[in-house]
Amino acid sequence: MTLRPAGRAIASRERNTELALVLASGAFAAVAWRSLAVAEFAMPANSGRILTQFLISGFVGHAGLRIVAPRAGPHLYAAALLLAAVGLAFVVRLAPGQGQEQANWITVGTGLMVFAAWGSSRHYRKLRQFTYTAALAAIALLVITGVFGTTVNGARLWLSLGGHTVQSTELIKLFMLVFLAGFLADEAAVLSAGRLRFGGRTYSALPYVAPLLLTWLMTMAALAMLKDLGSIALLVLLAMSALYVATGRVRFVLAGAALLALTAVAGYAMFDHARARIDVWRNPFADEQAAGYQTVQSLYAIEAGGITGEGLGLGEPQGIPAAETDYVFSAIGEELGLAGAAGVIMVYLVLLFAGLRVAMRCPEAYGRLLAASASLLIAIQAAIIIAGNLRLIPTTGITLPFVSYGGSSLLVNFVIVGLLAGISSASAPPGQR
Amino acid sequence: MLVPGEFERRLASVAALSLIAASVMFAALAYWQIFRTDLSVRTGNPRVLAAYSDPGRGRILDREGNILAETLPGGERYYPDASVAHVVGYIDSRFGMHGVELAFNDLLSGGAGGGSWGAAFDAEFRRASVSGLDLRLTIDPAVQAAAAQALGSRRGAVVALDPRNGEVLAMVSVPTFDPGALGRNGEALFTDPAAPLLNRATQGRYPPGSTFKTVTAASALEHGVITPGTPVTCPGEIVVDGFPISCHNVPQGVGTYPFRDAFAYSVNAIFGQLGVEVGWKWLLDTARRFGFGTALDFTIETAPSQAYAPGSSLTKVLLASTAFGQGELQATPLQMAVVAATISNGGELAAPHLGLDALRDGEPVRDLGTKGTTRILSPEVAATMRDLMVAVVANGQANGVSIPGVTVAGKTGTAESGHGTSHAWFIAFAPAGAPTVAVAVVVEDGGQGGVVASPIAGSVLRAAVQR
Repeated sequence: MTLRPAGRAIASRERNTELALVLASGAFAAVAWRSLAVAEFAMPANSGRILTQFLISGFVGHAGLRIVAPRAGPHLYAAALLLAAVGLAFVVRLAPGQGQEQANWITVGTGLMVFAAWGSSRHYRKLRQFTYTAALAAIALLVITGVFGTTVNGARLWLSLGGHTVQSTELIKLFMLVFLAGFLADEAAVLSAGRLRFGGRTYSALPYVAPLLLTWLMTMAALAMLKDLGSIALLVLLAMSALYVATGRVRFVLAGAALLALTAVAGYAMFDHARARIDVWRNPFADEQAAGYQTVQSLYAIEAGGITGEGLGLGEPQGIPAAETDYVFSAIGEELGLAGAAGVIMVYLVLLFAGLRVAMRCPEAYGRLLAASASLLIAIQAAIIIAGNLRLIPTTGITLPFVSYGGSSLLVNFVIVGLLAGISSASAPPGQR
Repeated sequence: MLVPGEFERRLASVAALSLIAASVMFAALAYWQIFRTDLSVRTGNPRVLAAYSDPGRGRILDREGNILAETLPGGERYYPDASVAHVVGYIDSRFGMHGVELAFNDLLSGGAGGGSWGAAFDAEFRRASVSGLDLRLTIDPAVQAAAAQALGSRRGAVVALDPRNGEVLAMVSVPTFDPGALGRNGEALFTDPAAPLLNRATQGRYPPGSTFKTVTAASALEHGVITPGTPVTCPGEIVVDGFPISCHNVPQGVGTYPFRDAFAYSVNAIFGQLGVEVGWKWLLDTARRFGFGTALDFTIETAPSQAYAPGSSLTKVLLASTAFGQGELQATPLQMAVVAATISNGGELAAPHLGLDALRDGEPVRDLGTKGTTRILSPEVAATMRDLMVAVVANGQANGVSIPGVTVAGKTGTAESGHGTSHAWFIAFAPAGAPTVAVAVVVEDGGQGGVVASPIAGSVLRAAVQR
């Protein structure tokens, strides 16, 4: 590592903007703690330590980026950290006993992010070598989870590793990302041409879509065995939007939409728990005390928020089962109101746009597709769970990135942000300040 | 190949799509958080519990300003008058909310912002605790007291309406309960076989007996099947599809007389035959317009009245017995009061309601009284019906309803309860020329409507016309 260029860039405009935004996230967390105290909320005994640890982690992450990815766009990490601050406040509020754990995951997550940014700013192109390895790894992970996994809430998504449980679908998402970007970079030309001319004959593009379709089908089949409908929807939407970004062919989007509809119909027909979820979605009040309980409690919470919310610690969102994981957005809706919930959506928009900007600035195809797919992955996941909480679509048990309680999800999402930061820094034109 | 310009254009499309998706979510947030306030009063909502100890909850008053419910300094809700318990309802952390306490919870709790922009701002942005509004009901203390006293301890219900605007002047249901004592003896109240918590006025369903002949007669009149002067004959009994209906249910039943006498003396056989002539289609149409078949749109919980049991086959025999008020008919006292009020008001139904206005510091800040009217009968049919009902009282068929100098119109009913007793019914309105009050009375297992129920209606009418 040569220190001179880095030393000059350490004071880059991007990092200074980021510092201001990181300070704002810190201020948010401090205000949240103060609000909870004013609301006479029973804070966990170590709440001061949790806050301090979060603030230090936030600054360490920022300092790390100054060193390893000085020219990365400033909004990626800032948006992620703000979401993590919101998440930490709500985990402390909804599940006080898990606050310390969430803070620890954020600490590890920011560290991993710096590491990922360091790696990707130098070597992200090497990921392309692992395109098909990643596809295999995703499938292998699925099979292993299917055989050895632990079932939680009707879905088999968890692997036990040395006393810790890991949500394997989170890792699978990462592998799918690597596969999609590599595959599309290889085949985009063929896919967008629609047919291949060779030796005076025209071939359909089918042979080139086939590996994608095959991998996708296997993954879907495996996921279907794990019964994780949220992840299926997420991966289908991701594949479909990445295909569009790579080829510009709306046909793929439509095919994807058809596939998604088909998946939904098949899911409805094949899985009792999918059918139950869709029935609850259509009329949650029909069985308010049992099947519809969670959805109805979530709607009560959102309704109670009004425009500016009940105030942090002043509502009753703890009545929603799984409020700190699947329904954290409803809790935000209750206590921070329309203003706060819409604000969270806007932060995801900022994160998405920052990620798309990385893709635009990147000079070469693989990096562009990797960055676009990575930012879409986070945005689509947020959209699915938020739309589910708002009863726009049936509920699926996936996490709200950076906000929901849960280590696997936090770590993977921070790694994705690190990946984006690395690509961003590597793409910055050398002379520009 | 990734053509640079094109790639950027695609990303712009993705960005635009994400903005659309976000807008949909903003709209959904606004829908749930601003417009679906009905969720905040649903009984399954745990947030409702928090309202039970609200010291700033508004008072409930009658139209003269007498207190019907107020929160004491200790946070306990106090209800001074048990006779309006079913109207006022209750608010209890274990048993939830009921009656007006539930229907106007938004106003009483201050959750609706309290009626003014300043209070709405305080509630929404400053999170200041906004005290609720006082709520004035349409209940008239004199009419309510007369109704409660006249019914006494007999099981049944009384409903008095102002037919011109639908205001409920009195609503009594016996047996009653002390809403403030719910926390101490709620279980006993809920399991009591006498069902003291049931609001018999809006949720008690009784066969209406001969009071339903008003609906049958109105249907026959509006379709030209009969006129008041049409001679009708009953030789002793009339057989419909092998089912004999006696005209001996009243002493005047046998012989030939104009239809208005058949109405006044309430001859079952004549009405059975008339029902067959009118037919199911027209009779059900008239009954539906009055409100049979669905729960009336009312301030508090209301049970639907029915012309026939769901799923039963509409035979001629059932038609005949429905036409004279038995069959599978079920009517709430409120429903029959609406029938009387509609006839008295020239055929126009003024939607019944309990809320008058909401007050802050004694000043009205929100009007709750304005409700629309619906035309149910033509003015001509309504006028004819009025004359028929005046004749009932004029012919001495109802004891204890006459008021010196005031013409009273009414219809008696003595409904077979199905267990060997009769429910006594009376519906009435006064003054017949320009009515200011319509009333329905039912006394469970009370006997003759014109003997037991009509004097109760008389007390209520006397109190009301003196207003």
